Amino acid sequence: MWWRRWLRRLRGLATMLPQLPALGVGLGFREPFRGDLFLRRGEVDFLEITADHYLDAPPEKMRELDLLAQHFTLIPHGLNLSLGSAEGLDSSYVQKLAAVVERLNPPWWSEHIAFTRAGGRDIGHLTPLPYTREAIEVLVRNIAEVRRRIDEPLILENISYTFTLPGAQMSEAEFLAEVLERADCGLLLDVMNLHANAVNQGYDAQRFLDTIPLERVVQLHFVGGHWSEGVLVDSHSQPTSPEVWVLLEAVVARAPVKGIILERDENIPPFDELAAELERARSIGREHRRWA
Amino acid sequence: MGLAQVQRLLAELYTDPALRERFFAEPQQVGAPYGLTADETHQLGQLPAKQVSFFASSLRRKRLNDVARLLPLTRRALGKTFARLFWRYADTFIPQGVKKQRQDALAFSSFVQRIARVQPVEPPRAVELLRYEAAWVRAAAPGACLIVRRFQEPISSLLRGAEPGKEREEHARSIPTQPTIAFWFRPAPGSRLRHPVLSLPRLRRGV
Repeated sequence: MWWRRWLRRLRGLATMLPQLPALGVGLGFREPFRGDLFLRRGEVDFLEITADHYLDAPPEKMRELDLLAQHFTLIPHGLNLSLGSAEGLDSSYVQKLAAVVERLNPPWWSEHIAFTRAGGRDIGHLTPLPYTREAIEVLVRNIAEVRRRIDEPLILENISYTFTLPGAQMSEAEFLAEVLERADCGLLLDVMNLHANAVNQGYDAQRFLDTIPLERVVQLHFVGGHWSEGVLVDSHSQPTSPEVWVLLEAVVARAPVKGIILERDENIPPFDELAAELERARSIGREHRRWA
Repeated sequence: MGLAQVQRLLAELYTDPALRERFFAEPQQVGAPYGLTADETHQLGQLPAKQVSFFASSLRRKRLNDVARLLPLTRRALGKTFARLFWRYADTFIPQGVKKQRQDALAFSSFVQRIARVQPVEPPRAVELLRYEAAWVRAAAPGACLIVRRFQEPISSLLRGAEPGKEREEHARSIPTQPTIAFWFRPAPGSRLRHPVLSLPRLRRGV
């Protein structure tokens, strides 16, 4: 495996992106549909697992992970690495995360362009960064540190936000583009987050797509949200809306997407409904020749 | 803008409602100790307070949902009281680290038990149920060795008490007291968690 690591470092991620495997369409793993998942294995191409659930986890949880890995390609998705933290990374957290990623040997793993802690305080959720050069430097520095420990390709997800931090020196799309290029990472484009941000912040999602490096898109997230007090919330709690389907298809048509994950966390419906959404996304990918 | 200083203040604004209220009332005074320039503090003071509060509320709701997932039977037994108690608890403790959901559930459990010592929590059996579920949360920690808990009744009747409804509560009141001791342990590191339960001789309780 050492030669793969050496090759990755030498070639850089951008040249390797086209060679990442096309995984198809899958689900963010959630316990409520674990039984259905194994019974209907053929309808799910791969799974995304929340890496944090398997850090400092009891033996039963690790056996669950191993069982899932026997039947599915698993993509670890981190939540609390806090790549945007100016105070740097939690090295103990990085060690634990690295152990999970190495255990799974995935084609890629993912985290977020966000921060989740500062000044010794854990915020408990992903929070936005200011679109500034300083924030880009922080991200690039932290990602370089993670890469010294985790060799598997890292892709970064855009988060949703309801307010923009002051001092912005560029737009969100420009910020994302520069982070991806400078850090040489792939993009996990969350289409629901993009739609929610476009609606809540009043910008054009298609223009956003024109600005970001679509050739770096590796994976998509999609799901439905809900309205609360005039804000579109990415609650992961509803069927995918028509607007998000349109956006998803626009991305798949233009970007070399390798995988799409349905990220339903709340208000989980019967498995038939999830499977129907998976098949619709799979058809879109097939139509645009992303997979057979 | 000193990003580290800004993030430190933001982390507290998102998680401390009292600080948030004071900051938007007087940003320069509240922001000064964080090492920000006057201009930086002024800019942060221009954040839309309503949206920041909306985001902060969503963080608390997320905590509530995460804890409810770890204590599902207690949530069912307490009904709306679960959320009411959680909101009272939420500002007293901010969980940290990799297993913050577990920390949060255990801290909430301790909080409710303290409340129950000085004022009634309805239904009364819900607190015993909470102790039971909290023991499972504690036992799930990788380094957990042996956990022992004593209950006033068999675990099976405790779990039946998780069903809401007056009829169930009235039925439950007639169940005789039967001291029960529950254990959680792993015979060896990495082995399966064992949970033997020992019920002592039944005692009649007045209806």
